[in-house]
Amino acid sequence: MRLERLETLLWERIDGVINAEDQMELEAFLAEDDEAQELEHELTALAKRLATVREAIPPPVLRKRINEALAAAHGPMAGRRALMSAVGRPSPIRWAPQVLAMAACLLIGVGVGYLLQVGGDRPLDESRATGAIYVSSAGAAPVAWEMVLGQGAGTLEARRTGANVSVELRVTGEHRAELRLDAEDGDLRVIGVKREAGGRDEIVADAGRVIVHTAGSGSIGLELACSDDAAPVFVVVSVDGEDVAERWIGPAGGAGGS
Amino acid sequence: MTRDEDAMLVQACLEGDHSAFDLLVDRYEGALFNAAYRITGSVEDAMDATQAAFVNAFEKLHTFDSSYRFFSWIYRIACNQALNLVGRRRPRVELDADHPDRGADPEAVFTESEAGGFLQRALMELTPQHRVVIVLKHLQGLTYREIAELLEIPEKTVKSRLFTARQNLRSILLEKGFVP
Repeated sequence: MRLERLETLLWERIDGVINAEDQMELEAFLAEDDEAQELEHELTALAKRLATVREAIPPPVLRKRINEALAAAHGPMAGRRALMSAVGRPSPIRWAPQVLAMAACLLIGVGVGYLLQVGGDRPLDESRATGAIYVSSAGAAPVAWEMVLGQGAGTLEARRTGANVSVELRVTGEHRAELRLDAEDGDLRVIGVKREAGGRDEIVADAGRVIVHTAGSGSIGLELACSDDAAPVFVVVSVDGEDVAERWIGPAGGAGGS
Repeated sequence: MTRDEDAMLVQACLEGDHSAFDLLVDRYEGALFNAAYRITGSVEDAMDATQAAFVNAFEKLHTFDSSYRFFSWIYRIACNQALNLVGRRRPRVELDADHPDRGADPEAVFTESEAGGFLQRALMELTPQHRVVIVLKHLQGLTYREIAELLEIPEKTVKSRLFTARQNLRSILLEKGFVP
């Protein structure tokens, strides 16, 4: 009974809802009992670990599926831009970057990514069948993220700290995957490679671009250095010839989510 | 939360501007998918639950009581969808299917937990009712009151269910070698 009371008080404190009277009772428990302190340590550690579980990012195909299902139910959606103004949400957040997105993908495709704007919201091509992930390098973005590649094909994790970018591609099953990284400005160098058993891979580094091809199950981690620590890096993953994920990794350790 | 904007979007949609709903999808797709994924442990099921939640909400928007928050309403639909799927299908954990079991080494297990995979596996061993309160409290950051509103249960029940869920989760983690 005493232990249960102690645990209740500890969780109330961790949750930030403990009142003054209970706080005093808890402090008395902790002052007189090593076991209480041990439990405090244990629960605090558990809460911290739970808080570090990263957000599961929806596969790009989900938005397409939702749109199709809604369109099937009530007809195609339209007039979005007008409504955005009506509710006071700045339309450039979604629409101006979208226009830029198509240009961005095309320009990257022909190796002239430097023509893209630096900083701010990064648009992606939403016309692609796989949908898009929308990233802001200026917002309250996570330092690291993990992306599910869909259909059980694997995951992509990435982290950006200043000029350093690390990515880890995990592929599950007999898939052929391609990971492409483009620095918008300057060079992108591979400074470290870490592989887990299984699968085959090939890395091609060419000035501002790094391309990794893999075949079969396995994982490959890359440590990269950008010559310009302000340059966003664009990441695209293809599985079996189809682009399944694409994302900007912002310059200030910031990679935003959709 | 953007309660007023949500209310405006709902109203616009009810007045025939279906594109308004697109913005609500923008706003909540990620959160709904994340919650559904943590509840079902499956990307496919999470996508199904998220999609079904939006479609159901769209179709039943006229029944939405605007004195409540849209966020709570659609969250409730998504969580129920996810729980229904869990009830019908065998739980799977797709994200870490390729991760080796490192149960013998507490340090390695601890590292695994940082990637979410280990904790996700432990979560999947809880009952769905316990899992959902852990997800809403710790992974989604909701208050007791918000969870109560969302699950349509008393706040007191949220606290007691959360207490048991945490105890069970702790036991599962300790059994698996999680030593804080």
